[in-house]
Amino acid sequence: MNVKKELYEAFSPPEPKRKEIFLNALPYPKLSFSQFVFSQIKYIRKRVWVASVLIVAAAVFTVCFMSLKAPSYIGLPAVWIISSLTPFLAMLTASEISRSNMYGMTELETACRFSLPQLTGARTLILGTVSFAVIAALTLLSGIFTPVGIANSAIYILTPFLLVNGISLAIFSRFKGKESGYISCVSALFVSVSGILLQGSQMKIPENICNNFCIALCIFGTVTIILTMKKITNGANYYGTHT
Amino acid sequence: MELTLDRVTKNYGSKIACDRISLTLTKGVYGLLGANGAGKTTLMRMMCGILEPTSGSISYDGIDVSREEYRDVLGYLPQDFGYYPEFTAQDFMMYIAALKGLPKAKAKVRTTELLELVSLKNEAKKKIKTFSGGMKQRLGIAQAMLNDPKILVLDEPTAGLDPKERVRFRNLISRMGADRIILLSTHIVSDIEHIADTILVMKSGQLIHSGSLDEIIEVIRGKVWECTVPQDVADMLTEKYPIINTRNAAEGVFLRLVCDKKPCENAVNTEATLEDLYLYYFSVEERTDNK
Amino acid sequence: MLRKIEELYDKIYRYCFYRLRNSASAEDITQEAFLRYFAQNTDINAAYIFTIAKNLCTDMFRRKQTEELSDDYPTEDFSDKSDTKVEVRTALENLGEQHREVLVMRYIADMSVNETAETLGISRFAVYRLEKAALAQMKKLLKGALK
Repeated sequence: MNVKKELYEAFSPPEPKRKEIFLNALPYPKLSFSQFVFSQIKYIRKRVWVASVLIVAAAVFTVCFMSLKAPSYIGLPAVWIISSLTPFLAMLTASEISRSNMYGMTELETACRFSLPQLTGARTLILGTVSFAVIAALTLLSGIFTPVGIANSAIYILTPFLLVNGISLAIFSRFKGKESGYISCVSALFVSVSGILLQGSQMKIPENICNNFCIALCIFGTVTIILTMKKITNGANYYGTHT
Repeated sequence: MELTLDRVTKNYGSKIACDRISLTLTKGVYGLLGANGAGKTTLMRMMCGILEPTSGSISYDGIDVSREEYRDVLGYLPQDFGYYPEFTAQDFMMYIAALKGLPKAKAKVRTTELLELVSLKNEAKKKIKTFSGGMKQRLGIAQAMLNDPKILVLDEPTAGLDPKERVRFRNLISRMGADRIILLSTHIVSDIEHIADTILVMKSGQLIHSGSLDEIIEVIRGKVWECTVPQDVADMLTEKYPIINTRNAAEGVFLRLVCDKKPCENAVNTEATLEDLYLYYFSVEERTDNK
Repeated sequence: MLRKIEELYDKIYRYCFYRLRNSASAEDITQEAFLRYFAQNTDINAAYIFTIAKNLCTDMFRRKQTEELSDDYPTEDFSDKSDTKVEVRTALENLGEQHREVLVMRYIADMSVNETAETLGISRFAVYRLEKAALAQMKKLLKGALK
């Protein structure tokens, strides 16, 4: 005799009566925070990925082009051009992080289990990783293929990025709707272009003054970012300040 | 199942939006009645953890409002909400479902169920920007229910709904109130009359009255009069008493007013309604402001 | 993932029914085990949920022992009283406790070797060993009983 089968049948219970209802109503299993972060990746707009790829490609192109066609420009000019690409990435990442405010979703989102602070944290994690990868790539490119060196490249590339991030985040947290997009765009362009123009006159400014100025701007940008993020992630009163 | 508010206060500088509100809510439907600026939305926002009270505390079965476990059993429909531009109704629901911690499989099931419940099944794949106000409102109600919340806070949920939709909404809420705490605020007095078990009247940031419909109306029971009088009498009565309704009739001016005793010769005592009470409370405010 | 939970529900329900012999109580305990588990966890750990259910059954059983056996706790949920089934049930009761536990989990509750091992806190090898021995024992008992 098949003992297994006999055992199974000897103790077979009647069909469970409340299974469907219970399982439908069961709110579990719930998402963990890391699962939540992953779930947010698909809500980051494609333009961020496209821009990242384009920027790195443009940087590669610049370096190659200059090495071949205009070797005298390899050096600071190349680095400044590369660094003038970063404001656009900064603007896009800032606008992604600020999406909730831009489209009036903050109230709804704050009342959810993964509330606005955690949502912003998730977005920042994702975008921070992407930005880091792009900045690292650009820094390595200019550090290795130009005589400027990695340390200085890092400073020159980070400056406009942090600056525009800070400014854009601040703009998005104050204004809603399309205008903030335009203002932010303009500021990104401004920083980008002034970077290039400054580069033209950079030849006459001694390096360490230029570097210190850039570092100061980096610090300003970082502080602005931190303050604005604190404001955004202070979910409980975010709406209060805008009523 | 108890939602407790203990002396909840919210100040904006010198302005007091909510003044020491204390409440205990259990299963059932509560209607929050009050004029604009009475503090209803502020109170609701505090109950949803969106606004931090200046003082006082809010907790559900011992869980403070600031904790994740509280938000986990909460569903909220704000007075006004936006949406990410390219979202369809389904996208929106799935997005909010993730924020509420529902795993994807469950989110899909709930989304389908709820969109059907609010009669948006056929519009699931349509973009929200093509929706009418009423449709958007129904979507808002659907998202509030995603996590099968124990506490449901609805701020002006019937605004923008046509009468038929309003009736449908009322039935929905009645069904859902059986094992939940539902708090809804509205200007539309008839909504509260029909679905709220308990009515909370709020004025200038204070909870001035709470109870069943009968208990609330007690304040003006037997004090509502109707009469038609000449203009000069009408003017005099308007000065003295709160007027609920007035219109010009062939024989003079028709007045419906609140008065402790018969205000004039031909006045007829009529049954008080919640609408009367609402107008009574809030026109008194205007009168005291004007003095 | 939802199907995994559904299958787990069935398994735990079968196990609880074996312990309690009452379908309503079995479902109650199954649901309670799920709720308790998910109050603290976000993933699915079958062994853990099983352990909760196991302990709840023990608790309920103890409580029922001290009370009068009430009406809603009949032993006639076993509607089929055919000979073989009675013999099989008797034989199972005559096994050593660990052997019985393994057979209950593996064949009545239809748990996997891993789930059984984790719930009982023993190794996979030990499960195989016990299973084999228990089956042999059952066959011997049944051969004798059915002569």
